[in-house]
Amino acid sequence: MRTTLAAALGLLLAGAGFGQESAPSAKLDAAGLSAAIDSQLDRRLASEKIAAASPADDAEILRRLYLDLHGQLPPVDETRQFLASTEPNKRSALMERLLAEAAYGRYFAELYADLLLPRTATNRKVPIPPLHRWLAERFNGNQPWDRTVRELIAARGPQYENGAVTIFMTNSKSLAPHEATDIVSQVFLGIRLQCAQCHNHPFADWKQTDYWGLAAFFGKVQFTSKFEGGVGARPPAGHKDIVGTNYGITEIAAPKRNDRPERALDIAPRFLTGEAPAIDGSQPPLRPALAEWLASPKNPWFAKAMVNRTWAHYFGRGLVNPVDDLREDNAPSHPELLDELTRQFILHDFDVKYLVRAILGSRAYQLTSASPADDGGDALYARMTIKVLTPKQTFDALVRVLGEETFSDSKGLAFQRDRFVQFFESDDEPDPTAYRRGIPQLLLLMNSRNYRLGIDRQAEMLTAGRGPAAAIDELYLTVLSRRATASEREKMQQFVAGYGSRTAEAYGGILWTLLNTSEFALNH
Amino acid sequence: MATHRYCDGITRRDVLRAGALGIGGLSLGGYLRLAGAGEVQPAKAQSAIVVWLGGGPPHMDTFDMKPDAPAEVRGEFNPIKTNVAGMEVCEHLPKLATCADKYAILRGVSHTLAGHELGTEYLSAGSRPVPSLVYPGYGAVISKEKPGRADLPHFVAIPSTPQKAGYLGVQHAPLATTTTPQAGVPFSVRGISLENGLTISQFESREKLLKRLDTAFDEIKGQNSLVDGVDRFDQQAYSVISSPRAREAFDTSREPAAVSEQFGTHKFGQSCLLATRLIEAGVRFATVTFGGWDTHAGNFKKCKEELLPQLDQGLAAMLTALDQRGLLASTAVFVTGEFGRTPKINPKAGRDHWPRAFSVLMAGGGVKGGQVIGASDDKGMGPAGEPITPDQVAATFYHSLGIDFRREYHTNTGRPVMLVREGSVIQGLLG
Repeated sequence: MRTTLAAALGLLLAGAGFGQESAPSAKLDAAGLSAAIDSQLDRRLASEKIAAASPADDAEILRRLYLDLHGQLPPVDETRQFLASTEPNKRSALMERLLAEAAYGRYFAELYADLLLPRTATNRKVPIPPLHRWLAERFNGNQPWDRTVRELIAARGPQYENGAVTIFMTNSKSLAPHEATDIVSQVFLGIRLQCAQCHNHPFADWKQTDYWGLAAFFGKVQFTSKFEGGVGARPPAGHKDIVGTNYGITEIAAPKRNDRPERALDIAPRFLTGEAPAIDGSQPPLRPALAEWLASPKNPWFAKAMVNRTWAHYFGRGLVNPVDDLREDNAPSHPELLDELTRQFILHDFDVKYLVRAILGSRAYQLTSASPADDGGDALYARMTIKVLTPKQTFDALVRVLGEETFSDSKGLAFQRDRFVQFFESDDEPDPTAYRRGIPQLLLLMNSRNYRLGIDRQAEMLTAGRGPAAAIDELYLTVLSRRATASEREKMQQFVAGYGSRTAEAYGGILWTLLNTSEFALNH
Repeated sequence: MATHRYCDGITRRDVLRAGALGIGGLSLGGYLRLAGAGEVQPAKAQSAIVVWLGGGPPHMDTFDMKPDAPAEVRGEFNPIKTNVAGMEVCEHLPKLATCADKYAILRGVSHTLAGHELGTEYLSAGSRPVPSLVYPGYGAVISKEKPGRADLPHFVAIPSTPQKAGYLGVQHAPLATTTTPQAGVPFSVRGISLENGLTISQFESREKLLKRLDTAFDEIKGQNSLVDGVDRFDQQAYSVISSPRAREAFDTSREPAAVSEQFGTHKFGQSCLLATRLIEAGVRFATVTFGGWDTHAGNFKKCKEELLPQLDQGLAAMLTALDQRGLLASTAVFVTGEFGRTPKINPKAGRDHWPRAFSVLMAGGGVKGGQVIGASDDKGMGPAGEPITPDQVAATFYHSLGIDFRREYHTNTGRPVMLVREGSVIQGLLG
């Protein structure tokens, strides 16, 4: 009943043309916004005469939701249960449960930590778990996005007390003001400002003075081990992430002059909108004023940037692409939709889970990726875009299938994960829909000793005591989170038969094969 | 840094020109080619080896000796004559002195980045590093532009390399051996050889099954170009695993003992032997990394006892072996570090970082050996006359391989980037 109403409302709004500023739309609940998303997308598809794909089946949705919300494959028991369930609202129940579980916050914490603190040689010694934990708490508690960002930008204190300060740390000093400027403008505002560091921006309206006016807010950030109020230099005994001296971030009275590129301009703090902050610039701290301006509903980029980035996470492309390149001559594919999502996000006080619920509840998100449409239809959301598993998702999926013991050694699972991720991650900007594996990576997956041993062990465990049909089914459910089709089952049974009594070997072969299918490598 | 995009050093003038030309339908790359900046000739080189002397070798103690300089600059070593009249090298490079006709020395190569990280990025790609973009290393470019046999990896690093795939994407990343071969010991690289008792026939039966299955997924997923791409790469990986060629090429123990001894039993020598075998088998690009040149203290002792003898033996053996096997003419060899070292010796008998003047060696692939190009001043402080830039060296290296160094790529954000924008072919280096 509610859905019908919301759909009707969505249609009504779409008809009214809610791109116009003069007619601000009412506050919509998540289902209402889902309906608004669909009506906008449908209108465009209709005008382009493209038919939308059919809805995804349960198995597709289960795997998609797990990968998109937890970065992980569903556990096999859950897959079995979900596929068997006849509950009419099992999809939304699953979504709610995944949003409520701690793995949700942990997954997004890692994604944002990677954006905010790209690992380089100059920050590799900085302990990262305090930032992960800090972010995970915010995502899991669904703290409003504006507050989270304000806390990050103005962060100070010892790292063990305030994990947010981590984003300003390098191995031995604070992040240079221009580097902080690049990160903050790109991640939180969706603006690529760094060209304006040395010259006026060639494609956008940014001047070098805009850049250094923003950078000036970070000019007093200081890396330190001495804190106000007598907080000791060492974290409390037994603190597991920080060993030895505890560092953190504070602000000092005089702006720093070192660490500046040749083309740095020495100008007073100024917002990108041109105004100067109403603070006495001679005294620290400067960042709270920036935080207020930046994470304000009035900021023309802040909410939009988060909406676009969130959309891109689920759909594999932003309404504006690249996701962090909001500027006038880079038009959104669906401008009215972007405006409406932004407006609702602000009306709901930057409620991140609200936005996620609205996106995931849309029919567009729940379309199948299997459709005869050519790739062009993806950009109009005629079918679900196929995304490639990220290196981290791939590793975690392999661990789920093959067990921790396949990967962990004396150095621990986390170490192996980092190594795997480095091996697969390229230096270039990740495009969620580009397959980025080369021969060396594939060779590792197909042909390394540990994997082989893990595959044989796991295949034996999963199929023990099962006849061929049940064994094959178990392998499919575990690796691909679905049941084998009739034709697949037939091929597999032929394969097993070809091995005669050597069934363990045959099942090892099947597990290996399933792990090497394109289906496993993709979030489809 | 990975988050940084866009402002990749392309000047506004370039953009403007590209835009203006776009109307007439002529690409910038094409325009520049027509403008005659460096016409591409048929390539002599089909494959390449880069020897990376990590840390920065002292030019004054290797290929740019200054016997007439004051003692605090000259150092402890003397020059010796080579088999080419007028060409001299350090006395601790006697084997290289006997084959100087095979290589050219570039002196007075110069840049301004005195830190290891930036200097390494520069010399690994030939474009001065910018914050907004990661340039692809030589191996990645060659892997893209001159892909070789399907059953061999295209870009092999022994045991690793600072070269990155950068904007070309991870498909062109190196296969790192992670270890170096030992003389006479069978060598296999993780991933290349079938391990843990899996046989070729088992592997092939799995591969066959996979092919049949993935076709099913193709049908399910419609005509999706991504799914196609995944399969294509997978196919190549199977070829590498299932072909004996790759396994044999990597196994240096198949080389006769007499040949192996020529290269030396040290890691560098055996790595050079492996690089030679790989090129012989048809690998397009191999790089050998030889670190330890960051001699801030005890430069002369370390050079004399360890670094120079190994470099001398390994490199001379490699050039000779390539020549004997008829491969030198088709293999471009490029030897460099990230910079040179301070002419003035420090109180710890060491030399510090010095990018203003250093030396690079080039051989094979159409390089005219037995010559010195460029010069440093009388104390090795800076170039005498026009400096040679890393961009020029890279451009010439690509040119010898028939790769248009002005070729334009697009990053995945659609930005056009030239391979070596500031490059030009060094006159007289190629025969």
